[in-house]
Amino acid sequence: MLDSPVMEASLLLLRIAVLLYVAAAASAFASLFLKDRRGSFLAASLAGTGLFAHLGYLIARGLEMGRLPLEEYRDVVSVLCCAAVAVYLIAYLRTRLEVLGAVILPLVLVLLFISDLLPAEVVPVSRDLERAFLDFHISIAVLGAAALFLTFAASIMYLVQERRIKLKKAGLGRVPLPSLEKCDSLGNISLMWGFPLLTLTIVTGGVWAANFRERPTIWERQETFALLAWVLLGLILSARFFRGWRGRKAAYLTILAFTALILRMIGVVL
Amino acid sequence: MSIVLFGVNHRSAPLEVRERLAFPTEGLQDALHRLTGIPSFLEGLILSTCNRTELLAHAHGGENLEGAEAMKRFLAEERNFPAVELERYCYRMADRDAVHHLFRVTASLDSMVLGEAQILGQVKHAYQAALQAGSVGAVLDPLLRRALGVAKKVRTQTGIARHPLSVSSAAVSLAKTIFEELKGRRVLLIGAGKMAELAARALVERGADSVVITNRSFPRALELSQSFGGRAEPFERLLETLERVDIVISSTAAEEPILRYDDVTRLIRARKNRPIFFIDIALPRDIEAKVNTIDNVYLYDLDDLADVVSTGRAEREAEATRAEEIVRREVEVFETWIRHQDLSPLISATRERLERLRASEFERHRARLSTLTKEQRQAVEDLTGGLMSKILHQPIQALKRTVRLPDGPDRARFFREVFGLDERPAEPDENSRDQTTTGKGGEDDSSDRS
Repeated sequence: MLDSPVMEASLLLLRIAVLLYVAAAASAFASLFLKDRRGSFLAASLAGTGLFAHLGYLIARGLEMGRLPLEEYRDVVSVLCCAAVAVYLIAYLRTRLEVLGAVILPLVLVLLFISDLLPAEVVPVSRDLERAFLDFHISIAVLGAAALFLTFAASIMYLVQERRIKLKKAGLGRVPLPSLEKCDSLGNISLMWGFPLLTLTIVTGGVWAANFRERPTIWERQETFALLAWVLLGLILSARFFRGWRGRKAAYLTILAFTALILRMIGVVL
Repeated sequence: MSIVLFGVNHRSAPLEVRERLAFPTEGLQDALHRLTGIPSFLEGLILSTCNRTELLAHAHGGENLEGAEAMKRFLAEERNFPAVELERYCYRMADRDAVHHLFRVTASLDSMVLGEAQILGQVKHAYQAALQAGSVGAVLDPLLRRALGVAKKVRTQTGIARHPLSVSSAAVSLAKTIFEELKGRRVLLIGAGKMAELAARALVERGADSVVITNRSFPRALELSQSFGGRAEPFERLLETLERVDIVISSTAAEEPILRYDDVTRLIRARKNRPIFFIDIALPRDIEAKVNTIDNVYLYDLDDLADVVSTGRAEREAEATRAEEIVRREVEVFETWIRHQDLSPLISATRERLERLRASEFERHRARLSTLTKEQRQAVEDLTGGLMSKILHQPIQALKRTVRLPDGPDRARFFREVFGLDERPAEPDENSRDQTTTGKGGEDDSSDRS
């Protein structure tokens, strides 16, 4: 099946997308170090074009499979990267933060690279209803994780900026970073989107396991990371809501939670 | 291009001299009229600030030296300053150097405080005054618009204006790395001191909401709060007051710290972790240094601010190199443009001259041509006309190419010589026609007059 001309063309699209993402990431970094705003705009344009190629690949892949390309881990990660680039573009257009591209795009590239190494492992499903339910579950998981890319980027920017201010090296002739307040609010807003989606993912996952699995179990090993991420993010959100908790420690925890979630999405099992 | 610049600035002349040479705003229009009334000048501009007085003019071709002398006399007369003494403080520049100087001045590369923003506004005012007086036109008008454009380019493309150069601006730029905007932020001033007040004022100017003042002597706090339009709080309630502010500037004369680590730990809990920025400019310090280790608390003391300022200065100097490069390129662009402008009267004068030659030759052979039919006459007209443009085509193309060459003006002069454009036309009526159609001819003519 891999030899079909359609698949070959779609693989070409994926390669184009990856090349464009690489160029976008490079120009995002160049824009930061050369302090030229045009670079970040170029990065966004390149990433936007790459996104189209990437979407083209995913559509072709779906057509070839005759269904949503959410069966194999590598496809799910590819869809996640596509969504993360879209989130980056939306956030860039709304906030004009030049640093976003330099944080999100390299991560996307790493994930795409990893996805290429993943085995073509398919979760065995028997019925159409089951498959549809699983697709829904994975789709919201992808959306939630894509929103959390932004939370992650905000935490990274926060930590770097905070460190600079504490070490009395704030913003002088260095890569311009957004203010702490801006990082904080960006992280909070994206978490407000990501967390409910993640909650829904976990609920649907539980429902799916209880109803469709042959031996329904409450706890599955592969869900450890997802639950860890959910618990951490829940703690961060509620501590912020009740006690105004924020700052360096919250940022570290957010990064930890995001890492756990991504590990789950690329299929790492404890 | 005949642009002449004459002036004094903060490097060439002491303040006592500069203040005597400064033009008051009220008389500027009249002074501009008098400047352009000088026969050497076609256009003029006066830039007068506390750091410089500069005269800029578009002079008749080849009159740069005379122009600068005329400017010196003008400035000496206008400001009632001995011309001999003026000679010691002034500088004069022409053409490319003058353009370069103007671009550098406008871009704040020649300022006392590198990258300061005021000069841009001052050049704008000088330009507007000149526009109103009608003293700028074909050359100075595009030159000034370009200078303002270059200055904007330098400000946006380099960091020359970004880095703080004073304790106040350091406080502002640091506050902006913590808070997205200063609007709505409350500033607390503990104690009073000149520097603390300046910093508080700078924050309010950039949008900070209000200033709360506290002082060991409450009447003094009240007095200060009136000058700020802020509110005074008793010193005893300092910890409660701190819960409601975002930026604190402390400069009391206390021997012991007035805020300790434990106080601030409790404070940040009471603030529900909302960030707070302490600027401690007291000596000895008012706030324990350890406070900086608390999450969401940021503390800068006088030394830290001084570091920010000295880094800022170094950064500006580094950025200035990039700015100079932009200016240099822009000067080149402008020079090419102006040389193109210089050429068009020259080209039309050349055409004019050859056309006149053709007409006079026609006249000379009129008798021999009278036997020709109308068609044949037309053929001769076409032939000579065509020949003339064919002959002229190559030299004119070559002339146009000279605008990019460093010795372009010399080559243009040679061109004038070759085509005999500097010779005085024979008949007086043709002279007057020359003046209206060719700019250069007109200029040469008036230079003879003066």
